[in-house]
Amino acid sequence: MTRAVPGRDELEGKIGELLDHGSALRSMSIERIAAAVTEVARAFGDAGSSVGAEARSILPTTTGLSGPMVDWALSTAAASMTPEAVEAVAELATRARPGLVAAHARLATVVLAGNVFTAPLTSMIVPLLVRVPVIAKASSADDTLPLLLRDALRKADPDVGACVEVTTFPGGTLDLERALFARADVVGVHGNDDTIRDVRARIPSTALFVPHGHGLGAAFVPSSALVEPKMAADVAEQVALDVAAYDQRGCMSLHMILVEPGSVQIPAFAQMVARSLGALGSTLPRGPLPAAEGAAQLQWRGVAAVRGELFEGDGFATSYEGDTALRPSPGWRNVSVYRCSNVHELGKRLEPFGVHLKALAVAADAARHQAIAAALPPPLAPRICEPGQMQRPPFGSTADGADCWTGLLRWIQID
Amino acid sequence: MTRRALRERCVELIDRLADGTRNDAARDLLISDVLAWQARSVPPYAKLVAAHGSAIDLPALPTEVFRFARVAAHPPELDARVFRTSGTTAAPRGAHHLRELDLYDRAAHAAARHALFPDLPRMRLVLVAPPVHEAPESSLSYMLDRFADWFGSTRSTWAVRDDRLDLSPVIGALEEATAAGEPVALLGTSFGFVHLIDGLAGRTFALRPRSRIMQTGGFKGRSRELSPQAMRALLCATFGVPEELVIAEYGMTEMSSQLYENTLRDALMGDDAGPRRICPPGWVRAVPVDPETLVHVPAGEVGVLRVDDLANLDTACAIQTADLARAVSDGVELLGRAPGATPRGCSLTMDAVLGAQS
Repeated sequence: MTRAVPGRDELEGKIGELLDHGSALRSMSIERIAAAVTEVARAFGDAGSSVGAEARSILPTTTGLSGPMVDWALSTAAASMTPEAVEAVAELATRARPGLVAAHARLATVVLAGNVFTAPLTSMIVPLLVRVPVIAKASSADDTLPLLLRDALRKADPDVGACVEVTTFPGGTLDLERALFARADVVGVHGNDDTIRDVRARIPSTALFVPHGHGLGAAFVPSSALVEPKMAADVAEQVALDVAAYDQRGCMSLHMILVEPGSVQIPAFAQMVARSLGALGSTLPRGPLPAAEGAAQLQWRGVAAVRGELFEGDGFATSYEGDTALRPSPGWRNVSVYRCSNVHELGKRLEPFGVHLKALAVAADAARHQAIAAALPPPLAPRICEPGQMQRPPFGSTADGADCWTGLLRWIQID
Repeated sequence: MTRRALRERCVELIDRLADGTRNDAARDLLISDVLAWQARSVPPYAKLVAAHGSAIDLPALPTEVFRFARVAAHPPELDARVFRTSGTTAAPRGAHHLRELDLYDRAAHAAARHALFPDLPRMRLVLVAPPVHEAPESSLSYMLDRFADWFGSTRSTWAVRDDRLDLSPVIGALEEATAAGEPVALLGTSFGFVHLIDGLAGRTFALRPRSRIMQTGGFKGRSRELSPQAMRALLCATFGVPEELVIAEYGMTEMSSQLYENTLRDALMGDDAGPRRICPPGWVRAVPVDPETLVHVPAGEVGVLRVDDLANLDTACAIQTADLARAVSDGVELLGRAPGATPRGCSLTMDAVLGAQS
């Protein structure tokens, strides 16, 4: 489904059309845009719909994820896009503020990464809900979902669909990048630090830059969740899902589980996680392991075996590494379990990950989540959630500690 | 089997196969015996074997382990030499604790004599690396220092002094050798050669016949990166050395033996020329393995390179590298090093993370 690289004139023409459609979008009702979005989300969530079936047929090949994993990812991402959630984003982003009048960005440009294929369901939809036309530069390795999304929106509501466009070309194609960024008021970039740095240097100084660098997730299991084996097994089942989701390739994927000593021994908990990962191997199988990642996995597992205990299975591994230095895994369903005495130590050990720590699952109630959030040292600002929810954030969640609509609106102050 | 008995067998095999003859059955038998002894005597290896249970017969120890554990059958007080991997952060560096240097020296001498200096007893060397007194923990500097003793004429030149590339002695040595009609062997790191060539600012040489170049070690982010083909072409163009006399050495801190590409020996000695490939010496087994099953992948398929090095008697004979390779003829074709254990979605390098925690 990957398209030919566009010419500069073609790309500029598409951007010109988007800008032309902007005034119509800005006068459109939120209800109408939300209706188109939720219709499309429902279709992606439904394996029997035309676009749902097409996505499920193509994406296992283009993403390297198994068919059941693609289905799970599409279903959970679509399920989060309820009419209420979609309208709430639009309302929260544009709600009236005393003495201020909203000024919409004329065009949003989004540079997508290829690691989590459902990310465009947020990155391309939120600008529309704020009534800003959007052009997405899809990963040159896989533009399947962005194209399907654009086409589905055009089918659901041609006027809304006219305000979204997709392009693909190799990163670093300077004349095309110049055209892509030249007329954008806001540029959102997903990618690794090198990509972020490169793009930041190339966008016009007048455009707002919104980086979404790559990252990883951690989990904290307090002793209160390890009072008896059944409780521990339930938590293990949920964190295993956080590891297995997207084959641990997401920027919120779980790499390290820090466990407070409790009634259930920590190595035993690591084994429970391994058993749960084994079970997920049948319902949500892992995709094929690329050779380079296999090489990294071999190294990671070898160190785990030597400095702790390693519990390996078909397509997954869990390690128990005591209170040694935290070590992110190479992904592809490899996760470490560490001992962690308390919340203070948790913050101290996670601090080196800084802004790269995007999500923290905590096996505790909301009050404990609040307390832990307050105790984390800067610059940590992860999304805190329950185990099992790391890779299925609510639609409209904050991203990198900021509103997901950052940069799409500016405010005119009236003194 | 005692260490003494195994050592005698290793020495005998290395000496017997030094001329390039092969006896893979004897090699494999000795590898099995050494691994069985190491599984009892080298604690990290014993843990690895225990973790893999009986499913995998005598696995290889990943190179990363050398960063986190002492890999040795002997106590620290018996270390004769410790080589360490290079590193730029506070993260732990890999360490190879050698109980003796004799096995290392035998292996290094034999492999280099066969693949790098098969035709001339001694020749002028230009060494593009820091001298061993400036980098005592560098296995490469140690090896080149030994080469200077074994294969160098009295006029060998070190190109790096006080951690800086010093162009003038290099230019002087190359000019002098050319004027005298002497061949030169340029030996060093790939990134060192890039800096040398950049420093020469377009200046080229026409080194005499039988001059040769050996490069090793990749770029490690310390210079611009070039493909192997582009690097060879650049070296040929700069120094006037034919491409077949430009070879790569495959070695690492965690190994005592070195593997060389075949083309130099083939060209100089009239051996059968096959495709350019890395050929292990007779006491080393190099096979790409499947990263999940750890079994050897069929010839031509890509796997992760495992090296069994009998000169690593006191540490880990079976080394699991992170290099992708495919088996070709009697050797392997290297396809580059896999990225380190960095999370796919994260651009934080492992070194940065570990460094920040140390």
